[in-house]
Amino acid sequence: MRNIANLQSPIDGKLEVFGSQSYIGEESYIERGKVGYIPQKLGLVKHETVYFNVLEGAICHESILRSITGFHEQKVIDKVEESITLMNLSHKTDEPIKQLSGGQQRRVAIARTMAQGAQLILADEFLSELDDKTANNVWNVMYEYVKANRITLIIVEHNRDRAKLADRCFKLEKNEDNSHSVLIEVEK
Amino acid sequence: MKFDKEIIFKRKKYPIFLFFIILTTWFVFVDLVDGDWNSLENSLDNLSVFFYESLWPPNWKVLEARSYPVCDRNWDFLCSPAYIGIVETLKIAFVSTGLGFILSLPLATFASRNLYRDSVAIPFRLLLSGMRTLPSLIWAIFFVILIGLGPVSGVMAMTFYTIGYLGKLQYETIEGLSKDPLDAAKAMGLSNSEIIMRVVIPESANNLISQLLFMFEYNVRHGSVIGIVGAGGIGYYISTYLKFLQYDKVMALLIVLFFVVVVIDLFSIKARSYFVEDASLKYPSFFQSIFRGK
Repeated sequence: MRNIANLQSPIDGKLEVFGSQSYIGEESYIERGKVGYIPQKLGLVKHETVYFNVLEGAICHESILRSITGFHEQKVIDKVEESITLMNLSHKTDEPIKQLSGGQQRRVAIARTMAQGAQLILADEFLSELDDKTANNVWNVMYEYVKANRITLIIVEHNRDRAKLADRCFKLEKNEDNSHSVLIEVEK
Repeated sequence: MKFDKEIIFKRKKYPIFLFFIILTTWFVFVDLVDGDWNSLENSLDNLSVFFYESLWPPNWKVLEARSYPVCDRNWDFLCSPAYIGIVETLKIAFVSTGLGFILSLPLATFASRNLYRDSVAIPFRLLLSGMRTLPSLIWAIFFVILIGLGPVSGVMAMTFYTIGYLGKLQYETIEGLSKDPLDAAKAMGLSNSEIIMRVVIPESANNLISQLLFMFEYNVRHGSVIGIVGAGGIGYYISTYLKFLQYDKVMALLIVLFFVVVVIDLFSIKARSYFVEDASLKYPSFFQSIFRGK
């Protein structure tokens, strides 16, 4: 997953993401904002507000100069507000992340990838640490968004029932001589 | 019970460590004294003689106006060496802390290994540690030679030292940030400058400000030392009185300095408590209370 997100170069072989290739020991260049990566602990800026965090995703659509100096384009600000509204967080816009519940924090993370306009979302054990009810809620929100906008979502999930909702499921297993792990597609 | 050296060592590591420290310190100390124990015994007597003959009572003339230049202010106190010296020291500390902070932050981000490659980070680290190696006193001598006597060389000297010291604290804070927000921002394709503005600085803001306050306090204390080589501040008066052997006046100035440092210390402890992690659960953060008017 970290390979696809372009955070590590592949140990072996070749990787192609949106037409840009990366080889061993070499990282590729992917267009700004196309890949959204949600780490296990979400990677939100905890001291800052919901608005600030969602804006972090939206600045992918403007120049670096504007994003650093803080003179954001109107379309960027609209995008932020739209994503926050879609995730039902309008009443929490100015609350700092650390005061939100686990489910709300995950919705902020989704809003951030939404504002970013990601075509591929990578979510690493996104729903762990949540109770079943909240996890299902967050999962439904994500699922609807992804289906409606034809976005690819790659998610690492321990719960088999939820995992079965995906189009394709893979299982990570050791190969015969235990030297390394391989992905095996499983039937639902 | 089975006797096992390794387990005993593990369970008793703190007492063993403490014992080890005391033992080594004592041995090195004995080595330094080199059999000359008499001078140590006499030192206490010397101290009491020196204290009662030269230092005590403090000469509070330092709080009165200087005879030259003539005082044109409302209160004599405002023309006294103590007041002029301490205010200049505070000004030097304030300006050099501010300048040092502004200059050290970019250097510290370049020196962070989680943001830049080692080939970039290590030269910047060397630069910072180079600035830190020379204490501010040596920087002050250097700048007094370059610029001349006065507070400007004091400001330059302290700024340089502040950059080195604060820069190290800052890059250590940045490297201690959790990896996840950085990873998410990198995967989005944000450039390093954007990551610094939108993730690194907001995440470490509390630490950065508490370090800034610490540095100000530190610079006030050191501001009194660099005056001795002629770089302005209260240290200038201290060194003058030392030269003329007016130890009672030196004592008075030191007492004034002590009180100022204590007051700044109290203020900075209070201000820092706003920025420390645990406290922020109880009190709203300083920024929130300013910007939201809560």
